Amino acid sequence: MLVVLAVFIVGLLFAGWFLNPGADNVARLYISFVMTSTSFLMMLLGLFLSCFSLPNDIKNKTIQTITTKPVRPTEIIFGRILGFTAVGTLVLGVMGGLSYEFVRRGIRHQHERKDVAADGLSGTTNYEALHAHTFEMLKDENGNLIADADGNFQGVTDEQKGHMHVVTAREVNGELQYTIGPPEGLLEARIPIYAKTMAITDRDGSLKETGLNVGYESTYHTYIEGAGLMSAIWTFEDLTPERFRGGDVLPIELSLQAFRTFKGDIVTGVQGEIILRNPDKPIESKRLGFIVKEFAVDYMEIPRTINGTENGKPRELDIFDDLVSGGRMEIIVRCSDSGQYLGVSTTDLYLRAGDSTFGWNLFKGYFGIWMQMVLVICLGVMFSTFLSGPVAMVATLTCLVLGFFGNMALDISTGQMAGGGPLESLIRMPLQTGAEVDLDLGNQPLENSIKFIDKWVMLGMWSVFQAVPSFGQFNTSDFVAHGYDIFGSLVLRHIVMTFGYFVMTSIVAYFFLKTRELAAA
Amino acid sequence: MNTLVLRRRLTYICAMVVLLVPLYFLGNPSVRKPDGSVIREGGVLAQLRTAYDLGQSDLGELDPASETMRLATLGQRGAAIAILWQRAEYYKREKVWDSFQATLNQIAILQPHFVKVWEFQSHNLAYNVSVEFDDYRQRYAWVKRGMNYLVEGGKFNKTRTELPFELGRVFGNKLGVADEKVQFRELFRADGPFHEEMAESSGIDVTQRAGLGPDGRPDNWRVGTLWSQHAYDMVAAGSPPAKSHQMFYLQGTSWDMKHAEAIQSEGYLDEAARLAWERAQKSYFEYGQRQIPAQTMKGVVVLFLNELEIAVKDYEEKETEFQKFCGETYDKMVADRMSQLTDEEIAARDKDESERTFEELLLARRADELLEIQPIEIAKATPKDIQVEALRLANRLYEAEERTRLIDSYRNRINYAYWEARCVAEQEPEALMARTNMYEANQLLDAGELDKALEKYEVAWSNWASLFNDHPGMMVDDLAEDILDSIERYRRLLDEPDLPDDFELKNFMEFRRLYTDNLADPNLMSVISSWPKRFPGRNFLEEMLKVGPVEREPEPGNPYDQSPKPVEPSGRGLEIDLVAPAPPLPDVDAPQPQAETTLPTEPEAPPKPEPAEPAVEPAEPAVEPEQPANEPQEVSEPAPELRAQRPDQGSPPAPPAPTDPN
Repeated sequence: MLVVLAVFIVGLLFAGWFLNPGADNVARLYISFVMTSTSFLMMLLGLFLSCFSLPNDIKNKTIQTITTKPVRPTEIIFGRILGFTAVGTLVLGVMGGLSYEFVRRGIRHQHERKDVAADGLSGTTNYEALHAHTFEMLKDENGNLIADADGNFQGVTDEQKGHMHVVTAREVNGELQYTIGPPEGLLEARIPIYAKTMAITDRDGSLKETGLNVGYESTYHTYIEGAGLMSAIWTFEDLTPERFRGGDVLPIELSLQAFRTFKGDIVTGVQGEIILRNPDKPIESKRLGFIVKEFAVDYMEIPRTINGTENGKPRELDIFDDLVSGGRMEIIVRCSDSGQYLGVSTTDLYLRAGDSTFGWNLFKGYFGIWMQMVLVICLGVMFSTFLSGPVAMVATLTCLVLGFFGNMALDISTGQMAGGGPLESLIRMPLQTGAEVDLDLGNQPLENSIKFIDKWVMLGMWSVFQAVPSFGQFNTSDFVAHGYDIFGSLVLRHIVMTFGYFVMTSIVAYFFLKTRELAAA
Repeated sequence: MNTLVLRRRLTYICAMVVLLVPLYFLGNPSVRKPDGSVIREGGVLAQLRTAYDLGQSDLGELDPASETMRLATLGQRGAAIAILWQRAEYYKREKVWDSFQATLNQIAILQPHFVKVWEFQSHNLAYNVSVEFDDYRQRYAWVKRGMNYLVEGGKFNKTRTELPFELGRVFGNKLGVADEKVQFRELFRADGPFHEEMAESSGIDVTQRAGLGPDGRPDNWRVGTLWSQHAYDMVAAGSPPAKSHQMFYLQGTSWDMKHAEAIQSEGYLDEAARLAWERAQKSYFEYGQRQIPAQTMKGVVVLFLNELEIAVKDYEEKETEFQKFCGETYDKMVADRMSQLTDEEIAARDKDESERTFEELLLARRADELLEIQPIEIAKATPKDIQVEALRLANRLYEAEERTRLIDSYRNRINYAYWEARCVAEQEPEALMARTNMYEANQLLDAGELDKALEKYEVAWSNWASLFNDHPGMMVDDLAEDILDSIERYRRLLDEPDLPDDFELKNFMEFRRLYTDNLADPNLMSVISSWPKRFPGRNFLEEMLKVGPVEREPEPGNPYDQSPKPVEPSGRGLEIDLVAPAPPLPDVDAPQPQAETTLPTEPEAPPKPEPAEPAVEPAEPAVEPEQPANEPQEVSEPAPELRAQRPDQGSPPAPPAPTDPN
C-alpha cells in the first residue's frame, strides 16, 4: 500500500518534467495523466493484495486457525474482498486528494495587466504560462460599464488555451486599477443533453444517414457541403424549460470541423448557420450564423424568445412553446460558404443543461477507478481460492489484459479483423501473405480444415472474452479531462456490472473454498 | 513466502522509492540561458554539473528527464519508441492534438540525438498539423510549436546544422510563402512574447538589427536569414553542412531576396525596397564567392559561381593557344573529314533545320558526327616532336572546359544569372518609380480617385516599359502577374473592351501570352537575363516579337505535353555560357515534404559529375539565312570551328512558369 502511494507521489513529482505546460489545454493533459496513472497503480495494488493473501494463509496454515473458528467460507471471502477494498479505498482517497491538488496547482497562473487602450475599456495581459490574453470591459445594453455591488467594473479576457479570466477594474485616485482573476473554464463538468439522432440531408434535400467523406482516414466526422441543401439535423427529446434553469436561454455548444476545398476568406473562417425547428409543425427560427471554432467548444446562448416563421410568415417564437413539440425539437446546421464543408458527428452539437462541479465529477471518475480495483480484487480473491499466489496473479493479470484489449480480441474472434484465426495467422506469417489476401495453399480441403479449427478456437476465445469484465469501460478519465459530467446512468451501469462480478466471483470462490480440504493444506 | 522476507523486501522497495524523493530535489535541473548563464541553479547535482562544466555533452544538453525516461524503459527503448510513434500516428489521425504533441515530446526525450526525428516531427507540427485548423491564428500557433520543437532539438544537438537550417526554412518558407503569409507575417511581427521566448531558448535575438524589417519589427524572412547564418557559422566552426554546399548557402541569400519582394508587395516601395535589394545583391555576390565543392571524374573541385567569366576567358585563351599550336593539323583534319562527306550530306547540313526532311535530318546528323573532332584526336595527329606538348595543351583545354561547364551547370540549377540581374534591376530608379506609381494608382482606384489613378497608371506603364526594355528578365516573375492584374484594373477604369493601340505595355502583354502558353522560343527565353549586359541599348521585346513565336504542336500521343522541344545548340560555343537559363524562382524553398509520413528530403541530389564532351567542329562559315542582323547569335547554326560544345547542348532549359512552392 505504502509502496503504491510512494510510487504515485514520486510519479507526480517527476510528472512536471514530462508534461507540456504549453499544451492547448493543460488541465486536460494533467487530468488524463493523474487518472490514468492512478488507475494502473490501483489495479496493481488490487492484484498484489488479493492474489497472495489466501494462498499464503493456506501455506502458513493460518487458514486452519481461522477455519476452526465459527467462520463461514462466505465470510472469509467477503472479509478478504471487503478488507482489501477498504485498504485500496484509503489509498485511492489519498491519491485522489493529491491528484486534485496537482491539477489545481498545475493550471494555476496569474496574469497582470500589460497594456490598456486610451479609453481604458480594453487591453492586454502579460505573457504568463506561455500565453497572454486580450480583455474588454463589459457594457450593458445602454453602453454603460457593468459594475458589481462594490462599484468595481467587470470585464473578461478572450479565451486562450481553453480558459479565460474575469477582469475587475477599480477606480483609485481617478485611475482604473485592473485585477485579473484566476483561470476559469479549465475545470468544468458540463452537463450535456445529446441528441437522440442525427440525420443528414443530401444535396437534393433527401434524408440519409451519413454525409460526405472528404478523404480523412477517420470517419468519425461526416461532412456537409456548403451553400446547398445539405444539412445536419439533430433531434433532441425530453426538452423542458426546467432542464435549463427556467429556460430563459437555450445554451448550445458546438464542436464542428471545417474543411476547405479552396482558400476562400482566410481571415473570417468557414461560416455556418443554425436553425431551430419544430419537428411536427412548419415552425422554425431565423438563421443564426456562426463561425466554426475547430478543436474547441463554441458556446452559444439563444434567447427563449426569437424571431422565426410559422408557415412561412414571420413572427416571434418562444422556443419551448413553439419549437418544442412533445419534448422534441430539431436543430439544423448548414454550411453557408459555397465550396466549403462542415464536419459533424452526433455529439458535436449538444444542449448544455448547466454544470456539475468539477470536484464531484472527479470523484465520479475516481469511483470508476475504485470499481476497476474492486473487480481486480474480486478476480484475484476468486483465483486465489484454488490457485497458488503467483498463478492466481498471472490468471488475474490475464483477465486484465483481456479486459483491456478485449475489443481487438473480439474483432479477431468474430472475424471482423482480416487475416483469419490463430492457426491461419500462423501459416500466413512464414508465407508472408497479406491479411487482406485470401489464403491460398493450393489445397482446398486443407484450407477448409484450418478455417474450421480456427472457427472453434475463435468461438472459445469469444466465450472467454465475454466472461471477462471490460476494464477499459470503467475508465472515465476522458469525461473528466474534457470537462463533461459523467452521467448517472453510466455510473449506474458500472455499479451493476461491478456488483454482478462481485456476486459471480464470490459464488465461484465460495464453492472452491467450500470444497477445498483446508485442514489438509 | 516467509512474512519476514516479504517484509524485508517491501522495506527495501520502500527505501528505494523514498530515496527517489531526495533524488528529485538533488537532480532538479538548472535553468540556463542559451549563453550558459544560470537563471536557476537547480539541485545539488545540477550545481555540481555547472561547477565542473558537465552540463553539456559533445552532442548537446544532457536532460535529466530524457535520461530518466531512457532508464525507465529498462533497455526496451526501441520498443517504447515504436509504440509511441504508433500512438502519435493514431492521435494525429483522430486529431487529438494535445496528446499528439505530448507523444512527440516523449519520443524526442527518448531519442534526443536522433536529428531526423526532430526534423520530421517539427515539419509535422508546422506544416501538417497547422493546416488542420481553420483559424489562421491557430495555424500560426502550431507553426510556432514546430519551430520551438526544432529549437529544443538544437539544444540536444548543438553541432548539427540541420536544425538551425530547418528553422531558417520554416521561418522563411512557412511564414512567408503559405496562403496565409500576409496574416502570418503580421502575427509574427507583433508576437513579442515569441520573440522573447526565442531569444531565451535559443540565443537568437530576432529583434537585433539584422532581423528587422523596414517597420523596425522582426521580419520572418530576415529572421530566417539569421537562422541560416547561424547554421553557416556552425559550419565555419567545423560542423558539416545540412545539405549540399550550393543549396545550403543559397537559403540565406534567397531569403534576402524574398524579403525584398515581400516588403515591396506590402507597399514599401521607396528607399526601403532599394536597400533591401541592395542587401540582397550583396548577399548574392557573397554567395557567388563561396566555395562550392563539385564532384568530377577526377575528384572534387572547388567552384565559385561568380567566376564564370574568368573561366570562359581562361578557356578561350587555352583554346586559342591550342589552335595556334596545332592549327595546320586541325585544318588538315577538317579538310579530310569534309572530303568524306557526300554531296547529299553537305546539302542536308547546309539546309536550315526546320526545312529538312526526315532523311535530311539523318544525313545532317551523320555529317555533324563526322565533323566533330576531339582536341585529343588533333593532338595525337600532330607531328611527333610537338605531340607531347599538344597533348598537354589538349588536356588543359579539357580541364578548362570541364570547369566552365561545371560552373555553368551549377549556376543554371539556381538561375544564378537571372537573380543576379534581378537584384540590379530592382534597384533601378525606373523599377522603384514603376512600382510606386502602380501601387499608388491601385490605392487611388480603391479610394475612388479615378482621374488621379488614371494618371498614375499611365506613368507606371511608361516606367515599366522602360524597365522591361532595359531588364527583360523582370517580365517572367511573380511581379508580372501583379502588373497584368493592374492592367486589367486599368482597362476596366477606361471602360473599354480593349486597351488602346498605343498602350505602352502591349509588347509585354504579348510576351506574357507567349510565355504563359509556353510558346516563347526557348532560345530567346534563355537570353533574357543577360540581355542588357550583352546587348545594351537594344529593345528585347521588339526584336523578339519581330521574330515571332515558335509555335509548336504537342507531340503526337501526348497532347498535354507542351514542354519545349530540344533545339540544336548554338554556334557561339562557350559564349552562350554567359546566358542564364529560363528564370524560375530559386528552388531553395521548393523541397517541402508534402506527404505526412515522408521524411523531409534534400531538395536536390548532390552534384553529380557530368561527362565532358568537348567536341571539335569543322571550321566552316555558318550559314544563317534570313537571320536579322541584330539577332542574337544563340539561335544560329553551330559554327564549325574548334570549339567545345556548350555545356547544355541539345537541351536548353525550358521556361518553367514560376510557381509558388507552397
